[in-house]
Amino acid sequence: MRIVVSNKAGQPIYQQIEDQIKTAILSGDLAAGTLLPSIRQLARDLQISVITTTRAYHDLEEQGFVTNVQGKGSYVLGQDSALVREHALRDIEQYLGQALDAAALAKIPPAELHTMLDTLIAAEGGTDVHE
Amino acid sequence: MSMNEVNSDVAEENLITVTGLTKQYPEFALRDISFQLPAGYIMGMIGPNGAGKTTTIKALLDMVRPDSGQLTLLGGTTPAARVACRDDLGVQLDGSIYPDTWRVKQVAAALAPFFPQWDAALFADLCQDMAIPQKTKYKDMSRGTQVKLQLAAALAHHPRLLVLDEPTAGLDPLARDELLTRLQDFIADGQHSVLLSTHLTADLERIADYVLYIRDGRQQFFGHVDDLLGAYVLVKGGPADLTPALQAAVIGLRRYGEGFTGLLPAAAGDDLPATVVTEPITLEELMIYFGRGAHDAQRN
Amino acid sequence: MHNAIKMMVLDCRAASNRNSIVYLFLVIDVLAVILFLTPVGDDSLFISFGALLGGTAMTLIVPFMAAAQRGLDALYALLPLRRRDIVNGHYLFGGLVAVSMGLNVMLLVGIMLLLQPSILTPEWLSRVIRFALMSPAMLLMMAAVEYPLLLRFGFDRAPQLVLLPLIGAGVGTGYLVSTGLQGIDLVSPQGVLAGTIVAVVVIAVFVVSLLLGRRLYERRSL
Repeated sequence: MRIVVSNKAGQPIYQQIEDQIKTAILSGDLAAGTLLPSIRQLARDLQISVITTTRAYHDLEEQGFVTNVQGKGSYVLGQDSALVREHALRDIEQYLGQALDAAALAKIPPAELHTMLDTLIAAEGGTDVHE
Repeated sequence: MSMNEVNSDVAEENLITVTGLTKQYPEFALRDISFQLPAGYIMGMIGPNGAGKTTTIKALLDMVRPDSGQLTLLGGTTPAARVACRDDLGVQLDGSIYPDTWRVKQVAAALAPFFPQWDAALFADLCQDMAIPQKTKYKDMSRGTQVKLQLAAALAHHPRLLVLDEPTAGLDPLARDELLTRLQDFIADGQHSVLLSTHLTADLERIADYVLYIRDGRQQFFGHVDDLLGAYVLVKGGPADLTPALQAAVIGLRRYGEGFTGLLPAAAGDDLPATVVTEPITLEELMIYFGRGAHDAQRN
Repeated sequence: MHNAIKMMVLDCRAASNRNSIVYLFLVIDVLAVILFLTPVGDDSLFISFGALLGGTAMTLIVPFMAAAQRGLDALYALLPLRRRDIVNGHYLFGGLVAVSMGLNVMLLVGIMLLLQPSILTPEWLSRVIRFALMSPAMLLMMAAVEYPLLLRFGFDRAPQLVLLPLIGAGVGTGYLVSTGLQGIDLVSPQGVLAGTIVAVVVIAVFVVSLLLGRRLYERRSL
């Protein structure tokens, strides 16, 4: 698993950890049943505070991505495809929203946006929403 | 989400509990300091020079007698009980604490009889790791090396709690990074804790779990670092953006010809015009803006 | 008591590097023996008393000087020692210095007797005993006056205030003891009684000073 935290991302560190673990789970990099590094281990490795890491793990548990087994650690939960789809849709909506904001600022008409999206889909071969 | 929830399933043991600590001096007063440090965490004490960080540490070590307030250190609630648990306490103080002529060897020889858990091999390893010269007299060591020697001695008797006063001040960036890693290793098993004071907050920001912010002897904040940093945002804007309402709300306002910067409680940052930029803050910025705010208040 | 001894050893460590008392005794003893072999003769013993007393009196306060200059009170505060242990240790150190002085005088007398047994006359013996009694008494009284001041204020706050009582206590005790014992044959039963009284008074004052020192150090901010 790959986790990189940035001080300059403008996003809280626990959020960064959460997002990266989620991405790894949703993309299948982290299979169901995988044991995540312990909170204290990860805090030490990333040189961040224990509480920040605890918060990230807690959020992941609340959102159903991992489960905490007392005394053993946090395990990745299997994601059913409906849930994966729901998360993907939420992300897409967010990114498209940003695109619309940018378009509004530059006064670009919706028709041009449609064309742009079609072109992008064609170029990408119509796959891979997640990087 | 509340952090209490996260920790609720673990019975927490506080290694330090301070309640209402107050100490009056002729020209300075420490007022009503209260905080707890549970086992397994790092706590930073921040604030400008002369804010009362060292006085708080000295009170914990019974070097000064508080006028009022309760102190519990490693379970000890009376000075005698706190002294009895010194073997579990490693301390580094700001300033010199060994005689001029002592070398590494003399420090070990002098301290070992006092600490039943003194680990001569560990002390030697630490001195080697931290590149403390064996033959140099204490008075001829650089400030950074003197601090390292105190740290090695503090760690050498396997304490449960480390209390460090300005440990990073004399260290170069590499040594600072090594120290922070060492502190994280120290607390890794969840049983050990660190209290350190510093006015260099950049390192602390990432690894500290709790922060106590003191200014002019008064406690400004105690809690999780993330909560403190999340409580304020940095705002920047042009001259026209600074409405009277905003000007009244901004902490530590700095105005210049082309605009302004200042600190704003995070909640107040939500309904600003789009032309005002808001950014997350760092502990250092927090101290600067709050410090400036206090100066401005004095001038007015 | 165990803690007080450990503290005393720490005082010795803090003091010895600055001004080793062993080294001091050795130098003065060697000079005294050399003088003894010159026409100065056995007066060299009494001359060396002055030098020994001066040097030893300084040694008494060396731990406090070191503490003031290098923040050793902070070091002591980090150790598993109660404040009273620290004070006990300082007084034990003072006692050790005084006893060392007495022992060194005996050593010096022993060497002189070995070199020239003929000097041993009753008057000479009485004189030697008087000095041997007087010098530890002077040192203990100096410590008894000085230590509470040092424990309350620290050496850095008032070096002059510290030195004047030190000299005063030494000279005063020396004068009182020597005039008190004047004309008393110290080898007689009467002399033993007089010597015992001096010793008891000195030790009583020293103990009272110890109790006072503990109280003062208990309240001090370090």
